[in-house]
Amino acid sequence: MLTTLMSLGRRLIEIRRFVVLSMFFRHVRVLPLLGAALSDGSRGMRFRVRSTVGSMVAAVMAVGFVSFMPTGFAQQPESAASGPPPAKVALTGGRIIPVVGPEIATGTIVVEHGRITAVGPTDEVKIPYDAMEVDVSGKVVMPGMIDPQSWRGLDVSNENLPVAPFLDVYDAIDPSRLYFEDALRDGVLAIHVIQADNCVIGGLSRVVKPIGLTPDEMTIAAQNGIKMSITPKRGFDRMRQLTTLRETFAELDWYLEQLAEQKYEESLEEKEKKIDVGPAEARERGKDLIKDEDYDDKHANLMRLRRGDFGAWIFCGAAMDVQPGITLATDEGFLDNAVFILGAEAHKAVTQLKAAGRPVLLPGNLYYRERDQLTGELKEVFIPSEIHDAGLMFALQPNPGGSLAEAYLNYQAAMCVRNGIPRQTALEAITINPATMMGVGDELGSIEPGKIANLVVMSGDPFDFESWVELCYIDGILAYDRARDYRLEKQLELEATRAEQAKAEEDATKGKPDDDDGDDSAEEGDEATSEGASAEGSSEEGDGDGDGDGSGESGDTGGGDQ
Amino acid sequence: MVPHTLVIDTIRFGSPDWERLARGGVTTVFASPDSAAVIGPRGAILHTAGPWAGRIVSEASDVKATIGTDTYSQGGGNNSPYRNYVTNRTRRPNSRMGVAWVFRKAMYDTLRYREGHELEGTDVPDAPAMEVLSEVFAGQIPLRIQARQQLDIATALRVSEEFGLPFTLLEATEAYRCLDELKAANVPVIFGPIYTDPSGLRQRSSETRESRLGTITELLDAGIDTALSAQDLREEDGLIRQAMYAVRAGVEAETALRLVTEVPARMLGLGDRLGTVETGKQADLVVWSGEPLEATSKPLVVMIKGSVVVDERAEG
Repeated sequence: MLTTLMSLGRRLIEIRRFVVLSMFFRHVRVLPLLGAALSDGSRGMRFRVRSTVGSMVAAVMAVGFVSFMPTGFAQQPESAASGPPPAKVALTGGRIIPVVGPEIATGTIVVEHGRITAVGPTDEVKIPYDAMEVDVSGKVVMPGMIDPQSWRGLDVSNENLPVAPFLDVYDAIDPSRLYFEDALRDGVLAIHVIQADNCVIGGLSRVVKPIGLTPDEMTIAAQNGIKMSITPKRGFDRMRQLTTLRETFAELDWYLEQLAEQKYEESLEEKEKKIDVGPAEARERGKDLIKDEDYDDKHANLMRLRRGDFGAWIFCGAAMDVQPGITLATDEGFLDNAVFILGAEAHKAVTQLKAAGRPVLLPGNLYYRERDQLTGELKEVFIPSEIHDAGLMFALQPNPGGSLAEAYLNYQAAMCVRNGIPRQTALEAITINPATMMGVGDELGSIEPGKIANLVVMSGDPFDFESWVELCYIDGILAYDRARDYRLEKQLELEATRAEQAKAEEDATKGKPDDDDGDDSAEEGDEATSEGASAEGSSEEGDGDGDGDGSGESGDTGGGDQ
Repeated sequence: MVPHTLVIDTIRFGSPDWERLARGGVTTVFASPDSAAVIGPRGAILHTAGPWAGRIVSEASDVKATIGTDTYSQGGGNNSPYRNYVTNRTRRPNSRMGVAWVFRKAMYDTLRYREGHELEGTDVPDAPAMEVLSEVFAGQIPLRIQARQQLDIATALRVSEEFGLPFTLLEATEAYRCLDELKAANVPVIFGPIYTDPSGLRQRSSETRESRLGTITELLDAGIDTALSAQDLREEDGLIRQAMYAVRAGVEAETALRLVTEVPARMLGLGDRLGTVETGKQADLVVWSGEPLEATSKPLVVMIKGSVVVDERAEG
């Protein structure tokens, strides 16, 4: 009862926020503006924090937001730059972690038209004369991190049909979700949006970037994978789950035979011949006559799955689900494009996983704790170590339901390092590995010439929790600047006040009654009003996050075997 | 109103939670009562590992009071003792006003008790409770008050001023909204935990939905005597991670380390025995695999009173 009420309350808050957002959306006109509005930030690379009303508006960070502010607000001297974003950008002086290949202590990255064209030590890389140079000295540049599966970007995490391969998350991605804004803030620049685990066969997934106002603008790769669950869907038991899975593919075979027979008959009719063979032979002869457009939606996607057109993301919530999953994938011919998503206990089937040799996606909570039922002894297993020792490729996902730190992918990787996994492996698990699993390994996941320029500039080492994401480049365009992150600033409320104090002290010591003083008092007034407003806003935000997790959890429990 | 009861009587030394704490590098704990009573039991100070008898540092330590909704809105789990018979016709609190009244009545009763008056009426507190609260008044037993929201912190400050009772503020999630008042009252704060999603008791009380990362820095900047606590949270939200969050919020690493060692030891009155590595102090030491506050470090060896209680070198 209580939980129902709570979720209802959260729902209401969600609705209210949506109303607020849709008020903003009325101002949406042109998206290309966003590049212009943001590109100037890196030109000056100003890390100072401004606190006038206008800059607060500019600091509302989700890229989309900047572009749909009413023009009156946006006309800041700093953001008055017009025209397209720079086609060529060079990030110079930073420590580069390319993930593929050794680190570069002081390097330069050249980006042209959204792609990386050169990476190397600063003295070796030639910067094009017309490139915009951004000095990132003292900072660390790494490829954008990748969230290998998320349904937090969907309006509802599961469709309540057991077998629904004809669905596409395209229809359910909600670009206004705060989740996407958070992803940007955390340096996650590609997200595999896929339905949750409460299904037998789910809809098609999509790889998106956390900016854009429509799913089309956000898309990096469409129709990327298909979710499949061996762990029973809510209301199913394991026998029914597996029977439904086998039945689906048996029905596909039957459908193909019927279709082949029909096609053969049609071909005879065209030639005005009579049926000359029995059904079995007709089916055999009709096989090659089937064209892609002949399949209906459901069977088309299952066919494409068998053919290896997209990945099979197979959820195994418990260790007992692993072998049936491998068997099914082998029997139906999609083992070569399968990724196994492990639940908390599924790592126990590491022998079977090793035999299958397919990449695995680890659960958000990386520790598995179990009390021995007889001795009462507490056993703690660090799951990535088990998987790494088996020599399997693995990817990490954030754990938003866990601690504050575990919501960050780089912290998840740092935990791996803490438990003895090599630094390079841990880095790969949040960048190139998920990219490879999603089939976009040649586009994303490392800093190499030819790849999409999704770059994260951090204030320090990514495995140091002290480090903050300073800048994010998506397709070579500045998409996030911490100095303008209004929400984060509110969360911390530090630098603004400190900068103001420092300035006030400075002015006091100088004792000169210049224009700045006047500005100061105005700023304080604005601060005061915004303080009151944000107090409510921030609590709403917290609720919103909770809601996102809530839906995720409901998906978990649905698919999980608790 | 149960300050004469003791948390030590309900400690389960065999609980695996102790082992988890020790493995996380925590050597000494103030085992606190939960927040079900306005004036709750007295906590105990315990070591996390070692022979059971040797673990007890103090059997009866601070009295813990709670200002807020926890005392009347919690249900289920460990907090159901009153649930079945609390109605708005009983003398138990049903609102924040009621909570403040229970607190005040206890204090008035204590004052009368100390002056030698006989207590009369239908709701006379137990004499042992009066003895304990008398000692609180005399300054012999420290008082800690849990308050999360701004209004509860304000109430705590108000009642303590009324009775001239010094106290330590617990949790203080919304301390950022009353920094000046806390500073003026010179109240030490045991802040924390820092979290994004409330879990456990906090989730049920729904008093605060998040704890702002910057609050710890603001408390320190305001010059308020602050320690950090993880309370019921473990492992990745545990004590050392709380200090790590403080560093992310802009606190110097050395200061953050003090917040979970030297400062809490002093607040528990054990500053002469615990909290720093100095000649003459108790050998409660942790060997870390790297800088303690780095995300990639973990405790390798934990030593309490000079004997090794956790050794993960062989495993790692």
